[in-house]
Amino acid sequence: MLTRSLLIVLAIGLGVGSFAVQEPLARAATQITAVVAFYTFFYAPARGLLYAFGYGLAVTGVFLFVSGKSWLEIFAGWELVSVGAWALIVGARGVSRRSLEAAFIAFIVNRVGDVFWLMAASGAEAFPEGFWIAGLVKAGIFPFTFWLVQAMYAPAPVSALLHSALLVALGVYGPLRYPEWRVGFDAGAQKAAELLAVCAGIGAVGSRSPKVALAWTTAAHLAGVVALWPQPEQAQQALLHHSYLKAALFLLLGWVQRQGYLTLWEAGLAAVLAGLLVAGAHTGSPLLAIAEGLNALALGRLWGRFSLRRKGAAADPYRGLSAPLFLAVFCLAEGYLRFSVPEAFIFLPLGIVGVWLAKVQLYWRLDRPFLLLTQDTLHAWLTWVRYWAGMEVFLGRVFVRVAQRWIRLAYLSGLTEVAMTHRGWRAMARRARGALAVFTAPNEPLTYAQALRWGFLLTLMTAIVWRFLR
Amino acid sequence: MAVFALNLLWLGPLAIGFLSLFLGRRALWGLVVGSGFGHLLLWGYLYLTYHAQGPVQVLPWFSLGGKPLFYAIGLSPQNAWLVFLAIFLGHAALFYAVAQIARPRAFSFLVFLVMAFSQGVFLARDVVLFFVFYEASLVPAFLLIYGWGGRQRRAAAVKFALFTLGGSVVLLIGLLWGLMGRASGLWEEWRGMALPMGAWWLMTIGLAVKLPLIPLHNWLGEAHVEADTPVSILLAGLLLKLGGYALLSWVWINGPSGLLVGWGGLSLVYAAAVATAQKDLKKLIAFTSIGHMALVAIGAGAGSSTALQGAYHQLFTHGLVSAALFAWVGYIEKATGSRHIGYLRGVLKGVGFQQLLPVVLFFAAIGVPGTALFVSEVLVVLGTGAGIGWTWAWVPALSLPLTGIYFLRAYRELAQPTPEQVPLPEAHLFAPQLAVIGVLLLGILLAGIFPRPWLTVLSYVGP
Repeated sequence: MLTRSLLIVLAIGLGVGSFAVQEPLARAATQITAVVAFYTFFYAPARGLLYAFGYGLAVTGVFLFVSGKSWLEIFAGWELVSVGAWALIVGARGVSRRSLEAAFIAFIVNRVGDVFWLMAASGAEAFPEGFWIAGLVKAGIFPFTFWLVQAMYAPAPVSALLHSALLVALGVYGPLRYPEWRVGFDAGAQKAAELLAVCAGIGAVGSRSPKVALAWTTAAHLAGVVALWPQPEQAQQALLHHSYLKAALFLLLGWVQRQGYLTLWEAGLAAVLAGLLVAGAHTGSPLLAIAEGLNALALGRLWGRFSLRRKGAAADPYRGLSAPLFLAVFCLAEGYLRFSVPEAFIFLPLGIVGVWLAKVQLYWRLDRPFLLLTQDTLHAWLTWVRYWAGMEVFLGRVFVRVAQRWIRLAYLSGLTEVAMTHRGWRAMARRARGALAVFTAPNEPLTYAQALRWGFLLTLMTAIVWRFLR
Repeated sequence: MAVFALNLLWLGPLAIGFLSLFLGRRALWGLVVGSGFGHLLLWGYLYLTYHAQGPVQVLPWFSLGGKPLFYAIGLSPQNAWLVFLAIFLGHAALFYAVAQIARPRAFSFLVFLVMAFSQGVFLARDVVLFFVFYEASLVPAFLLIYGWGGRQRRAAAVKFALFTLGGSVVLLIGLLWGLMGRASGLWEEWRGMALPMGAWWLMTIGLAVKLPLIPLHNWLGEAHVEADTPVSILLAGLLLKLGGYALLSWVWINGPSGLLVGWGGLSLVYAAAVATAQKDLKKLIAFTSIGHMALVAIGAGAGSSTALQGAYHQLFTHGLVSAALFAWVGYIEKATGSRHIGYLRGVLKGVGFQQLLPVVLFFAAIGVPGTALFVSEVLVVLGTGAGIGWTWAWVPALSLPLTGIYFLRAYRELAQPTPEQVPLPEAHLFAPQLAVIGVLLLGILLAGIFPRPWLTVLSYVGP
């Protein structure tokens, strides 16, 4: 009940508050989060505090990021979004081995990206590339797609948030918001980004799970936005366009998955959303056109797989309210239907081919080598550290051996010292009194010999303590 | 009045320590609360009056090899918040322990002594006075480890003593060597001139035992694990800071920078590796302390004003975070009878207060935004780049993924559902312990969300 109350408060608060927000990404983040929080209220039972906490952290992160006045604040926002994502992924389905694993990989990979960010920030203008490299990791651009795909374990509303304006978008938006982050992104890098978009498109077509296919299309679209970085206004428009439509698609997918089948008008709505999505990302670049064509194929295949399913899902009392109404409002919210309809439908024939492709049982996962590499690296680290723990024990034993010998030596030296004076403990006591006299007669100068005698006394005391303890 | 208050900062705990020898458990409770508030008020008065730029008292003491030595103490930007930390953590440890610890009078007496001598270390403005306080603090620390804790505590205490006393001998020789080339050991005199390389090395090695840096850290694992929880709070939260503070303030003023960054980096990676492999929660947190304190070495090595700011800030923030983590582990151990991750698997399943508390603590130790360590770590990384070039910045930045790995891995083990899950008892049974964790957490969040009071003061610590 508490979670639901929090979600509804969050939805209303952010929904109303979004009208006052001027910054484009922050506005998108508040609007999308408000809708998703509202949607989640109907969509799912209470998910727990961690989940609601994740919402709050992620939105705060976006705000901090876009309004930060110093590196510290900007980086705080950048990182806070990752923490929010961790909480959302872990908390959404309840804490389980898979959710913990997915959140773990997402968090660690993002933090590795952050190392580059910090190096760039610390180097003044010496290493500006670090900013956008960190951005590519955060945005899940191929080959860093694997953490994004793993995070698809979280339910659809979480994916809607992560894929729209709350996490991956930040990676792409950073260089748009702060021009110094784009320094070093030259024509070669631009071409590479277009190629990565094509790779992600291929990955999308070969995805088995619908959510994973959508994740790959995110990677493809965002790579397209990256390629547009030299034209910031166009890139920003494409990014926001993607954010709204991708959130809508995820919510629709979540709804359809819950329902278990695809109705005719839901398929129509999906087609319009998909068409608008790929059309909005179309920039005239041949490589990006190929990437969007592949995305259209992937989206078609995704919906095709649903249409192959048989009807008969569990009844849901909120069915009449959820997906259709919100999604329609959602699409209209920012007026993104201004994209001309004919352009939107350029890729629809490919989508239809994709629906037919759903029957072909051929799947692949392009980023598997990178996922395996990451998992193996983590595994290797976890194995390697056991040897280091063993080394720590070994060091302890070596120390004990050395200490025992040293103390024995010191003890014998002490005895020898006493024996040499032939006056036993009294002489030692006198010596100690001599040293202590430094404090009882403070104005008497202390010689270096006296000071060094303190060192001797320390050694002797250690030996006596050791002897006593044994 | 100000000078009197300044002296009370270290003489107060000393006197109250002796008083505590004559009180029962219930009266001790009142004494701890009263002393805590009293000392915080004292600190607040000095801090607000002088804005961490004083007061200072200098009195002639005795002469060493013809060099005049002084009883010189003072509040400065370097030590202002560490003095606060000593008051805060000392009383927090006592509050945590007084209700259930064996031999409460002796325990309180020794904790008050630790507090008094730690204050002395932070406040000292003469190098010999600093050394006297530094050495004095080892005695109650040794007795605290020796007297309260696990079955192997005596061996751990002796190991602690041997390491730290060995370090002290080296430190003393270095200190005398450094003193030879100076007119006196006063703060300004000492810091105004670079140390001879030999003296610098000796003092660094002597104090790196306490920080600690590898391979001089071997005492730490056992001491933390075997000591009782409040003693671990003091060890990690306060006593490690004595070494860090001394290195930053008395030694690493003009040193070989790249070397320190490299040494700190090695320490960081080694500690992360060993921490990741631990199955004992207390040992895990003990090794994370080495990793976090390595950032102090890196910050000092970088030498830029931002890096030093970060290093001093890290001393304070890590004090809070490590104390909170040890307090939580102590609570878990009391509540379930174990701190072994394998036994505790599933203990954090769920989303209640007791399950979410360690999530926040772990993220605080990872150093995420909104928590105190985030500010320190980012300052150290940015300062490292500013000080010795961005190609070195990856060394402290490694801490980001590495800390994430070991804490989230531990959380993964503790949170994943198991058929036979160890239940946690009702929170009210451990009210003082949870109250201490809560207060520490509040400090962590406050220092993370609103770091200005700390950073304003630390802006004066630059080279």
